[in-house]
Amino acid sequence: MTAVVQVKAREPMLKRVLSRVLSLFRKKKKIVLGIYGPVNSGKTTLANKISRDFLGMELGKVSRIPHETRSLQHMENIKLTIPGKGELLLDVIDTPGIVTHVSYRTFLRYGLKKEEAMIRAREAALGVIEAIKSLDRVDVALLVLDSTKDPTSQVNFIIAGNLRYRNIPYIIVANKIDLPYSKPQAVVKAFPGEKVVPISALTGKNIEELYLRIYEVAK
Amino acid sequence: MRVSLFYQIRDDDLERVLSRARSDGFVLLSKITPPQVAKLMEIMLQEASVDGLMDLELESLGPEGPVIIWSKKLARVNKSKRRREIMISLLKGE
Repeated sequence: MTAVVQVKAREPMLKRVLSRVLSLFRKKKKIVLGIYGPVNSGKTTLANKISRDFLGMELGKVSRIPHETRSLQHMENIKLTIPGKGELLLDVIDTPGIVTHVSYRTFLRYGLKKEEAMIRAREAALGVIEAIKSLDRVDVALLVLDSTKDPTSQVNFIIAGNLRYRNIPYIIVANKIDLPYSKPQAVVKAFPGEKVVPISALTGKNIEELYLRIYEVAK
Repeated sequence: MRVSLFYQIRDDDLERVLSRARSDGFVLLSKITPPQVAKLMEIMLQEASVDGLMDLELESLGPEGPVIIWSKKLARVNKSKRRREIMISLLKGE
């Protein structure tokens, strides 16, 4: 009687090690993308657009009252695919609007009661601190500006200055180009030599251009 | 009210700058780095009262400074629209 024993062929050791090493290089690079800007510039609207496009859901609430976003909002593992170019894995942080001072009186003008306004002001102040601190952990940043407003405000320069000083690559997003009084060319003029992408986060106009720029900057 | 001028401060001096702004009314900082401006904002916001109100106000006059900080109790600052003129008004004190 002859016994047939099947022996499973084992991959040579060298081949296995090599494929393990190659898989490390093939591993997608994960980038932390921070969304910064002054209040009511459309940061959360943009974050929501990214979230809808890639995750199919909204990230945060949008409001005309300043400081609607008062804490960091996170989106994880967003796979940005650029046809003909490649893929990029992103973690996105939507930050509260940065200001140099907060006052509860601002919110009274929007019809909030004094108690609500005071709570909101305190949360807004803490939100700004969180936003400033988050600069330490982003790889790429979007500086979202309202293109209907004067781009030469001190907050915009403070954010851009910090990003430049910390060597964080960034893209300036001239948002709200769907509005009749938008002047994206004024943003380009205020930040000469910088990458400026005019978009409408609300309508999605030119958003593909922004995704391409994010890919290029991150790679 | 007195005006204090600081040139090229170190990170350890930031708290001192703010206490000088509180006592003197007005501080002007030259050659300040963007992270130092952010840190000043952070400290000021941390020290805000429960209603978010701050006793100091900060204005950065350009991408590389200078930066001015003033006590809202002692001084009022008006900027011209073109940012070339700053008017400091004395509110209290000698």
